[in-house]
Amino acid sequence: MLHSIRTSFLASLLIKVVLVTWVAASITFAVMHATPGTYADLLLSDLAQYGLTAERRAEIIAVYGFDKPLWQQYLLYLSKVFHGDLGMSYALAQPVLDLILAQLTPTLYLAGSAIVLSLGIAILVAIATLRAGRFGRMLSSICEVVVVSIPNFWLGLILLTWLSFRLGWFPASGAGSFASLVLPALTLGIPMAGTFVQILRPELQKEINAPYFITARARGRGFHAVVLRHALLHAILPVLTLSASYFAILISGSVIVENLFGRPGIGRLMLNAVLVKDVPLVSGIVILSAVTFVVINQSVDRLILWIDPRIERH
Amino acid sequence: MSRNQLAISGLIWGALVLAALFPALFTGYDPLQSNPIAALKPIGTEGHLLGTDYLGRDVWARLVYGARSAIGMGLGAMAIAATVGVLLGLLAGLGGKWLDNLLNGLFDILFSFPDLLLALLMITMLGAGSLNALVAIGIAGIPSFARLMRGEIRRIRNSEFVQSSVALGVPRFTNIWRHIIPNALGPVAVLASLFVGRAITYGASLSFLGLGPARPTPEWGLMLADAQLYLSMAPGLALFPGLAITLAAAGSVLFARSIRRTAE
Amino acid sequence: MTTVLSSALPVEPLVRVEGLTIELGGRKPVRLVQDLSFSIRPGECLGLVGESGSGKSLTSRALIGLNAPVLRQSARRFDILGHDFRAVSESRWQALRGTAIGYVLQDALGAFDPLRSIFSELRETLDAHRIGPASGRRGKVVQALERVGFPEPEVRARQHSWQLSGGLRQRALIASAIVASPRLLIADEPTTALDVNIQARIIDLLQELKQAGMGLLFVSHDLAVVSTVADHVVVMNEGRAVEQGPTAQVLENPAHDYTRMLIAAMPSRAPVGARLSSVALPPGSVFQSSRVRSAGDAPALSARGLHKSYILPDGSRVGAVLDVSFDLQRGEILGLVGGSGSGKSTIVKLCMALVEPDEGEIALFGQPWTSLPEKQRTARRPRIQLIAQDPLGAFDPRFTVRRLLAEVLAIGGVPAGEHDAETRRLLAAVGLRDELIDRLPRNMSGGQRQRVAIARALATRPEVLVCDEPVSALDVSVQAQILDLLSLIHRETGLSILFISHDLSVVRHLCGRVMVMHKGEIVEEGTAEDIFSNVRHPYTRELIAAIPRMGADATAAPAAP
Repeated sequence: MLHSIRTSFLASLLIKVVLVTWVAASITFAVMHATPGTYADLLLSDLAQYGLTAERRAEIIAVYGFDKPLWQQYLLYLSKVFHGDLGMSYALAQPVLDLILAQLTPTLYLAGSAIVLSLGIAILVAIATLRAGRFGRMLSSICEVVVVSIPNFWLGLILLTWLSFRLGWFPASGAGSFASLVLPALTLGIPMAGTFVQILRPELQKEINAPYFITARARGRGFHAVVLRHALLHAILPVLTLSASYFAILISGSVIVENLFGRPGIGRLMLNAVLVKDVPLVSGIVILSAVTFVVINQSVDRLILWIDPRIERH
Repeated sequence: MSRNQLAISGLIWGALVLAALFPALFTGYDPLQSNPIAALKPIGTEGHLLGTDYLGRDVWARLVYGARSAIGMGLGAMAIAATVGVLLGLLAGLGGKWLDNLLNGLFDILFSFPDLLLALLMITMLGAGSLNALVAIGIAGIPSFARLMRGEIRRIRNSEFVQSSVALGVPRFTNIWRHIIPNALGPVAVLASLFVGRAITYGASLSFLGLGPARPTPEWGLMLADAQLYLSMAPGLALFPGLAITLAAAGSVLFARSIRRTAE
Repeated sequence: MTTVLSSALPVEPLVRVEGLTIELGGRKPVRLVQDLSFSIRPGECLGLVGESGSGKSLTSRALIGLNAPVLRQSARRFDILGHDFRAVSESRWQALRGTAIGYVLQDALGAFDPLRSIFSELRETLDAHRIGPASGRRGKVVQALERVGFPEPEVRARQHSWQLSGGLRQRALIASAIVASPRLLIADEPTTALDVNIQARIIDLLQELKQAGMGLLFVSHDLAVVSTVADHVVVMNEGRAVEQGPTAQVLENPAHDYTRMLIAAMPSRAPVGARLSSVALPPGSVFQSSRVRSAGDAPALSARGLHKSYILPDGSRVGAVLDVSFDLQRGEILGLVGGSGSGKSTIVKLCMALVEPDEGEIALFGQPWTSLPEKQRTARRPRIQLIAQDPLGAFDPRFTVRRLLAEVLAIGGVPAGEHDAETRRLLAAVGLRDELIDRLPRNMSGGQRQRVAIARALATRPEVLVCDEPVSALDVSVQAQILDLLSLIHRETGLSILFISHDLSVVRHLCGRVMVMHKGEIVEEGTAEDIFSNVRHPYTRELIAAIPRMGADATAAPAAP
């Protein structure tokens, strides 16, 4: 039974990954070829800036199959992608996959600490304001709106100005030390905490009026004990189901935060690639992040089902 | 509570729209007029209440003139995302099982691309620029609208009141027009309102990263990018454009919140 | 009575309340409960009866100190187990909850944390109060489950509440309230959502607990159910005790009009077909244009060999309806009774042609109905109308009463100019005031909504009405008014009605002929009187035995499981 669930989970994950990769590769291929001027012209004229010999030019045309009909180019591209070959970055002249893998660790640190930080803040704030009076609720609701509306690059600038330039508590850039992680993680995590609170608090509010909550209190547990032992898990489930949006926020945010704080990572790699029109590298990052998304999303769905096995939730 | 929110968002957006349409009402300065002698004046300088930037341009004037591109970005990208998304969602929600499975699978997959990355991919090919950024952000938002619309249509189609309309003898198309679509559009309006704010923020992010409009344009993200170099000398420069973006985004969040109860 | 309690000393009440008042604070305080006094002794049951909004649940929550902080509470005397609890700290309350007072909520499905097993839910009381050594708590939980007759407690306690049947779940909930052997048990509508036969068994269980010496506060809207266990009753209306005293006395000699109304409203007490409510009904003349005049003599609905099964998410098939045939004759009210899961809601959907039968078909006035393609059926749909249990869900949330009715009138071919007059006529016919015409149903009371639903159904000038549990979500007094209205409509228009209910007494009151449905099949069919006096199927016998009876003859024992 358990065995079959596990295999069917892996099978459905595999199917989704293949589908997503296919669609992602098709989109990037379409974007490459649907833009004015053929992709080959664009690529080659751009490459000319880096000094391109006629020999290298012919080689590139052969590798990418630019001399073949479009559908053959498409199939060639697909088969390469599915073999794990995301092409060569022509700005950095290295395999795209190697470049991405090399930059993965700092981004994972950033994303991980931002998630932990934002969840921590959100849970604390949500519970603390749960039984607040009219005034407290208004105040926290104003803070919520402001926090979710702040663009994170501006938040980063403010944190830099105050905590780094004025007070000198944290370094303004770099990635070596733990201290250098604090400002980027705050910049990425605070707006996310706002989003979490927006979901968590109404959920908790609903849960504390649920019959099971009242029953648990009637058994002699204190209010906060019941919140922690019962209601929190319920309230976190809807947060988990939206993990998709947070992944998007994290990835998009890392593009901004890494550039703002001069940290290495996928986001920095991405922006540099966009600025020099390094199409293979941009496509590679898009494809891989879509695949990562699918893996995370499916695992979280599994996790939710494990926490709450009721079928109704579907 | 929700009436207050509506009032505040109305105030913010009223001012923004007015500034976008008639910027000259708010300031006598030309946002492009540089004046090297008066560069980097602090906040509170006479004649330049919010100070001047590194070229001596009036910060208030640049903020006011920046409203146009912010609002254009927000509403334009929302129009693209909502129109295409709603139509696709309708097609999936009302079409047959086969079409629904196909489209829904596609929405699911498209949804797995972080929207800013999708926008960046498009900008890589289209090139930088404000119109390109607008189109890219708009297209990247389509999957969210499509998924929401399709889900709402499905939910309402199976709801008891639509079943009871069927039982009353309301013809199929009347049912779709009169009951299913109007009820589905409520949550879509909430998303659209939120999306306007998100698009403004994304637009500013892209220009901050150097992928939006070119330099002399008065644009909030660009102003912040320029302010970045003078953070220790003139921290005030980084204050107001960020505040403007936050206000615009907060206006759209508040509007979404205030219509949420009636919409859902 | 256990020996410990019947010692020579006079038995101290567990709870003694005098002059309890609960107010909703604010600039203009609203009195929700006013000047209420009662006491509960060990081995005694106090019944707290009232309709929704009467303040009965607030009163029961006050006894465990769990009302919302915005509610202001005061009393001349508020003693629990001999201690004054008028102004005590939260920690005193916490020490009391679970150990001295057990609390059972109406909705057993919601009252258990769905993410935890029954076992860990029951253990929580013991853990919270650190009762006994941790190692011995498992045994205590099993004991409590055994005490309420929960089968195989060692094994099934590992399940989650939503995996249990309604009856077992309610037993487990009672076990969770008594696991620390409290001296008082508060049960807030403990039987309301249950099928009648299960309801009877839960009442037996409460009876046993009472006999074992536990004090019991039984809160319910249903006077009949309460009277089977309670020694004393308090009848509440709008926050006041309108009447209180020994159960038999209150039932036989009700002093207050409100109590008399509650008793009269119960279909099981009233003579068959008699008026249940004294609220005035609209004159028969308003139904003039709704009268049924269709030619021919084929039955209104004729079902032959219906089969319908559903596929569950795990792939298995469940038969909801198995070979059902029946005729609804013209102008009759045919009752269909069954417990939850009996397949009666599937019959409703089949009759309304909202789902296709797997086999068999239904004819409407001798003409094809379920076998028609939807396009042709739409034109005939006005002839058969549905009144659902939850009328709110059946209305477009954006539509006012005027628009709801206008839509239907247009289908019926009424010209737009006459919509207003016709809408007003229909509202009058169902006993609604004109002012409600521009209201949204969600801003109306449950009874008003059900009247709107009836008006809307009548607007198409139907010949058949399918009523799916139309009164089960309503208060007794409102239920009585709606039942009176339905029988008036039937009398005046000659409609044919298929009336679905889980409540045999309602069906007996209204219907000429009754079918009993059990596990997808019709197990019994006959005139209402016939079924009551000459039961053939054991399931029917169980249903009849489970109908709560007032007062002394309340000892109807349920059949063996």
